[in-house]
Amino acid sequence: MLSGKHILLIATVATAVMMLIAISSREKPGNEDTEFSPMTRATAPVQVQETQETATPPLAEPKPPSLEEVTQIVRDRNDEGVKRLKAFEGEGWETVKVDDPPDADVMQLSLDLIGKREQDLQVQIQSNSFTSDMYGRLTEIALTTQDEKTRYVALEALGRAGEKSAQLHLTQAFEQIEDEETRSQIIGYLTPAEPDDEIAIFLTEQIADPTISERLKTQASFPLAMMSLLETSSPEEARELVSMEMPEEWKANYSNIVNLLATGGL
Amino acid sequence: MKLTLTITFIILSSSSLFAQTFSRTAITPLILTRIVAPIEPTFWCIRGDNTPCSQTEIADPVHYRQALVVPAGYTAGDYGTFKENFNTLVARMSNEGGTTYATARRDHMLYFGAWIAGQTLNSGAANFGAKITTNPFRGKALTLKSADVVTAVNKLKSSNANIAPAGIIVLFNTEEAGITANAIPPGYMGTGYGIAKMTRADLISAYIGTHEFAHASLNFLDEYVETGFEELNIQTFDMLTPLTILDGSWGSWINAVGNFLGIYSMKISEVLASNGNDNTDITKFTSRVATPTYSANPYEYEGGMFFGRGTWHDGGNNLMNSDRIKRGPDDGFAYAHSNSQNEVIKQAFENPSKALRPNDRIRNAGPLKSWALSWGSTIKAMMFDADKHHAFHPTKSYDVQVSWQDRSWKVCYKWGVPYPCVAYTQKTVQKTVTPEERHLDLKTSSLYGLAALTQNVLCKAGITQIGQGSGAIDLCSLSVAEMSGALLPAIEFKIPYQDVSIPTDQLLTTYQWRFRTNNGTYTSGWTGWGSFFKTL
Repeated sequence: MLSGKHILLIATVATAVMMLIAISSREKPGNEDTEFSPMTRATAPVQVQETQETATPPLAEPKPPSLEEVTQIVRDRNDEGVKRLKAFEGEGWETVKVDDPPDADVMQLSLDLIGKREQDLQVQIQSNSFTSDMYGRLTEIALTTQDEKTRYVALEALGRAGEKSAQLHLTQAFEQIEDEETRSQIIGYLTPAEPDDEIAIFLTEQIADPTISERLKTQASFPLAMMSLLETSSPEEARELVSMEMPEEWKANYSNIVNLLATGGL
Repeated sequence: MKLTLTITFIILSSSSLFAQTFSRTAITPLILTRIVAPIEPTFWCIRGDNTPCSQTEIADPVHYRQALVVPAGYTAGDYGTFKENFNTLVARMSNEGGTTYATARRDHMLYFGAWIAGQTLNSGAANFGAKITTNPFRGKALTLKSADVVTAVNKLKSSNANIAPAGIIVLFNTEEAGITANAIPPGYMGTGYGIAKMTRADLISAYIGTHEFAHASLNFLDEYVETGFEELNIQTFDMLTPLTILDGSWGSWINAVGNFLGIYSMKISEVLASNGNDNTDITKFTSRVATPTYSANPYEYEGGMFFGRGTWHDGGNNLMNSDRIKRGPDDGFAYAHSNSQNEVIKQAFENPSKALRPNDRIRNAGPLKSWALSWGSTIKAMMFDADKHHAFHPTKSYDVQVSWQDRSWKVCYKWGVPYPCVAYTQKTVQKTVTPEERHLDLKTSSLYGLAALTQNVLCKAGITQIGQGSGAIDLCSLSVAEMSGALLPAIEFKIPYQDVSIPTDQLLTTYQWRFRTNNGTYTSGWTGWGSFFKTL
């Protein structure tokens, strides 16, 4: 005859086995007939706290769900899908079949597409807007691709993003690219928000860098000057806002640019 | 000759106040005892090739493009001067414009002259509120009230249904030098025509008339660069985007969203240089999507719409460019057109209902963040479409697709025990959406130290008025101090964006979406799939 302890032991082992079966049969999206363990929903492991004073009551064996219960669960969950579709149909949407459903590789801008599906990559980048989780990928593409258009649109997408982290990725790309035209493209997207933010500092550093061409220094001066004029109430204050960080020989140029913007060029 | 002509006009005027067709040779003059000024309004028409306009041509504004020339600052005694100036204008544009539209297609250009006597430009009571203003930064400028021009045109149209100008030329009665001509583009007017403003002094060559009328009737932007701004990038101007305000054209849902520009990708640079005009864009590669039957060439040269960087235009010396900043051998001025301009001209003159390219300057503009339930149960996706307001092939509709992984449940069995199991299938729905007008407003009082620059940029773009109707204020004549006035109405921009409602009820679900355009001739390629996520 089995003691209470033996019964408890058997029940615990049986439950553990059932849990192992459930874990190994976890739901996998995209697979046909993905299975849940029949025990996952119908039962839960029973936890028993044993005290010295209390005798442990015997555990009931888990009861598998009935066909009626499972059928109802299936019906309820499918109803949600039907409701979702009806919500669209009620607003004039129609169900269609598409030959080119969302492609994860394209949507994630997989580097594997470079050199193989370059046009798909270009369309995806140029016709979309991106969140911060994709900025690194856009930068990698710009630095990796040999295709001029792909590089251009990848940098353009970062420029369009406008967020600080996108701008910082652009500055990183600038430092790794030597081509003057590409560097000019990058500088055009940089918009400092404040006189001492990373972008303002970066632009000022380029102005101070003797290896940077005068043309790029002029381009770098414009966003600094525009930011200053938005921040201050006079061109005199705007000139002072960032120019103290600039080399002496550039301050006169910068001052002219501030004046030019303040007067609208006239 | 002058007596004969004058008599001719009187006779026709008395018979029909808005006579349609005046022929120089078809009227038999009567002898009158004295010369009188013509009864207003007096109206005449001549083709660019100096032949009379026929009734058939006047009745076909689709294939015969009409230029309506009206006087500003001419008094009753200046009728002869105006007529002479009109003839000079037509002759210059039609004969001295090289291969530009006005000369090459002069047999399909109809020039209407409408005589409306008024007061001098200095009187403060000239036609259409026209005057010459002096701005401390901008110098002398031609200003008028565009609403008054529209009123005059509507009056003409009310008695002549065939009047359908492609553009208006307002001729200011002054020989004063140093006054910059300008034009209000048709996209900003919202009337189907724009307004070119020029002076008698500008009649010295074909350039001003042909150039400004190209702004007013073909919606071309300038491709030259302003002196001093050769290295200024239009995208730097996007610093002003956060200063803009959404107006009532959007509906109340924007109030729930709050940080609109944090959710959607919208740029002032796109509003200025990628908004209905064909010959400039803010990217070198204008076709953002691939359309199977069409292939576009990139725009070769950087510069345009005031800025030296960040705007791009097609190669080919042309009417809208200048030789001041040349980034290549064919990046300069000529009385000619670039390939992209010629496409627009071909459509405008030969078959306005047939676009020569798809509206493929499109992209997904958000939402960029997860859609919070507090913003509304319906997600609003945003489409950027540079051709939404194209003068000749505006977008007629958008096809929008939304896709998601749909769960299909069924009963499965394991060891004879039933359980619910799921299969995933990709579900896609589609809807066609019609474009609607949307605006962004910009208050000049928020511009601080950039007020003068912004004023100059906008005036160059032809955005010359703030406010509407009789309360409209001329932006270009305001001083910087005046622009800081908080009570000034905002500058309203018609913008190249369109929102679409997506009825997603499922939380914590990722949806993919994309769209394409239809312009009546072409259906563009699809944008790439974007995604959004609805959260609590």
